[in-house]
Amino acid sequence: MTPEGVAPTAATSTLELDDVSKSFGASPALREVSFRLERGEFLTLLGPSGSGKTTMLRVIAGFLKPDRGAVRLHGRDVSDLPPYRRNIGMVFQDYALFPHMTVAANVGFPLEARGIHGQRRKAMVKSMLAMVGLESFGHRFPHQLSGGQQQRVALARALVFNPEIVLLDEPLGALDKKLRGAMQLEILRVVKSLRATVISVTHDQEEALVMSDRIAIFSEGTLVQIGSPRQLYERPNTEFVADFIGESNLLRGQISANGTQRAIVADCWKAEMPPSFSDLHNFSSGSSVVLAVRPENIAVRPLAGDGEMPELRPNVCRAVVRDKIYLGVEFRLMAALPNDAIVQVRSRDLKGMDRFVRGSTIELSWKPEDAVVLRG
Amino acid sequence: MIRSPLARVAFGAVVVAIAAFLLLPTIIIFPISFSAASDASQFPPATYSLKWYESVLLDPAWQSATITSFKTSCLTVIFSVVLGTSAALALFRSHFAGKAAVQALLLSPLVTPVIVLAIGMFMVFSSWRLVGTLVGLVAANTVLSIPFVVASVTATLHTLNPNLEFASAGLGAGPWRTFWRVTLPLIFPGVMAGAIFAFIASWDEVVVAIFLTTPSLRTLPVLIWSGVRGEISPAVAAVGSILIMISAIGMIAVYLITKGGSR
Amino acid sequence: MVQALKGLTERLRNPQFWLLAPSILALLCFFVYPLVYIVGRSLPGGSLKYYAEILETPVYLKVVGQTFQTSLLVSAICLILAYPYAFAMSRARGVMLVLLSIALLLPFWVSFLLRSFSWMILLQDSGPINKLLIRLGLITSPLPLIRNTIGVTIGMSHILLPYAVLPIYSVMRRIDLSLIDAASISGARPVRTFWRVYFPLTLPGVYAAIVLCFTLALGFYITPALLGGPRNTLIAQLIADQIGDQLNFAAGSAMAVVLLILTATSFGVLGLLQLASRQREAPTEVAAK
Repeated sequence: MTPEGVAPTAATSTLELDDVSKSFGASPALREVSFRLERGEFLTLLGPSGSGKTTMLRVIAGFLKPDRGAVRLHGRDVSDLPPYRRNIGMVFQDYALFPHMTVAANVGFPLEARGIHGQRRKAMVKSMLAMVGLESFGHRFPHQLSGGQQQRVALARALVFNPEIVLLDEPLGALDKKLRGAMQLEILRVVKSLRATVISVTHDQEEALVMSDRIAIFSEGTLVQIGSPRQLYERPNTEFVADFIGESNLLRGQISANGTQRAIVADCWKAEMPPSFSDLHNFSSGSSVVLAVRPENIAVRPLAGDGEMPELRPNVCRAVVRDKIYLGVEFRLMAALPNDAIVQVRSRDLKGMDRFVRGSTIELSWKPEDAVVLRG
Repeated sequence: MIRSPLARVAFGAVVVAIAAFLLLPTIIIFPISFSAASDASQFPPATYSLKWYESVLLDPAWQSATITSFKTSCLTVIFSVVLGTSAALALFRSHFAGKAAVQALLLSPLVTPVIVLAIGMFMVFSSWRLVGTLVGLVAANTVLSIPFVVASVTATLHTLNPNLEFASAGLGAGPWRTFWRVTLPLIFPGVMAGAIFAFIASWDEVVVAIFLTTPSLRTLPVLIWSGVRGEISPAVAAVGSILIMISAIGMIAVYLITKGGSR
Repeated sequence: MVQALKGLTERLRNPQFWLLAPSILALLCFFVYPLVYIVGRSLPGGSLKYYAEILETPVYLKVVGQTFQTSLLVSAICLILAYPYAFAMSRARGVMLVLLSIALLLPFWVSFLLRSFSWMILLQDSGPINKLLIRLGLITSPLPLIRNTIGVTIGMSHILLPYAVLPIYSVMRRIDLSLIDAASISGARPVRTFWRVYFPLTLPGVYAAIVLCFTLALGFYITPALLGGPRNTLIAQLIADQIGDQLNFAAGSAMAVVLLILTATSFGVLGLLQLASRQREAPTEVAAK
């Protein structure tokens, strides 16, 4: 239902952002953001407050006009198109349900705006309410509903007219923790059954991981990395991403070249380059890098009794246990390297970890393929 | 909500026009008061002079009216502030059957048509021989001003932290001392604002004054009223300018007090 | 009897009582009693003859009708002017808001006697408004703007305008603007968004403005006396004339009672409207989860 009559072709993405930039006065909110979104995808814009993700959403919706760059729906530049002509649905952070209209009137409003009346409208509202599990709530007013119910009404209103894209602005922020998990799955179920294309904004990385096909990470207005949850978790491309998604140990070192062989060295360890390493950054010898290793990928062993310096072997390092925390499902260790850097370790080998106590000297090791080399 | 620049400009023009409509009458009084002509119908004035201010300030009729107004307003402020503040305090803390009725009573002079009050007071005060007396004027104005004080003090009381009074009592202060040293200083902005409202209200009050004054005891508004019904002399404008200045000062004072008090 | 006395002594010991008593006494003496006196004076010996006189005298009925008409007209004008002004104030920030507020509140603080006097000067035949219209070539000879309905309407609208702006503004300020965005993204063009979303949400303020203006307009005395002609006489002037000039206390009192009843009815209507709109926004039933 594209009001402007542009027929989607196979070659054009549902949504394309091309170097979009936006500033408020002197402060830039978006810097040359580009990405594409395909039909049926669930994309989450993830980042800390002030990273530009909400601004991005509002630019896509049409509430803000980009200073530079283009927003294209099915290949057509819509930068000048007002929100009410874009055929996009949106769920607001505070739901923004019209308080003076019933639930049915709220859900029917987009249809009313499109000139759909009478029985047809009633039927569409009814089926949409049924889809979100609120079929008998049509005559109620928003203030008579709980937070979760209001959210479902907001979702129904955003989807009832089969929009090209649905935007979710921190949809679960106002709900309490218990409800959040259930609503995550609920929203996913509804949008997937409608094969809707979704962009969701959140600062909660767990929510992003659970719900998305792809995640776009924003930091200070820049799109830092975009990829599937797994790609972002296993192959972050910057320190920021490595640290923002999940936890990472960020070990600082330098590139040392030995002919065609390259390795990373620091004062108390050295590491082989991961096999997947592709030299995108063109690291020259001596350049600073960060080796990112997830806590669960670090193995802990007691220090070899033969006194052999572990530092002589690659991907190994000596450390002293500073803290040991028992979390039921796993142990967490905070260990200090000789250069005082702190490394976090997570292990489910509960029996094995029993041996170590605060002050124990241990040997940490990792596999090169579990590490990622990032610009330092 | 409005996107097109043309609509924006048109809307802005409408708003400016309405603002001008609001301000115009207040502002033109000033130029008229400086007019040298003997007739205020000349606008804009051809020549300017301060002679009207001179004549007004020196005219015994204006002088005595000013003094009467001043005395009335001051006494009104004293009585209405004392009565109104006590009433507001009493109501705020208590619950009793008929509280709503009492609250309504205290505020009802505001919603009663003033002409009705004027004739009522006139007829009653006549039989009490209070017409043409300062007592009568003050009594009438007090009753008209009490609602302002009550409303203003009540609003301030709502912003008070109740724990402060409990703390004071807990520290051994009796109710009187708590009032003087804790409550009153905190509600002072509200009391002051109420006092200023009361002053300005009684200073400008004309309808009741028309009925309760006599040629020997007149307030400023009554003198203006009789002047205005004759010919339009710039003398009235001169008096008016002075009164507007006083009103403006009052408005700024209330703004500053309530701003400062809410820190 | 003993119970009543007990209650009384308890009251006397309660300090709140002594704080409240003086104000109540003052109001009873100088406010309630005069009103009661008026009612009493209007019914000499219990006879309704002065009320009958009002109903039977065409001149009096005309005045009542004129009062209604003028009040309605002025209320409508105030509403039309107040709505855009209140909207502008609700969207204004910083300096703009201060300027708009001053323009609104300064007249409020200036006595309406003085402002009516100003209008007399502005609207007279040789006044600036006529001069401007002639200069612009819109008219050739001065329009009579004073001593007639135009003058009264302009003067009364001017004085009542702030009373209309304030309730509308206070409602507009509290409207959640994300509702406007929600309507827009749902496909509603600006006109639909205004009529279906924004305007309904401002209705409580609009009702308050209309009724407030109407109620206050009913009792106007000074402004119509200065700016109106003999055909624009309103109830208050009639009352003043009866009591002040004709010394017809009984007749004047009866008219005053009529004015009181009209005022009270008008406020009653406002109360009902507000009650009704509040019921809609927050009915008493609680939803089952």
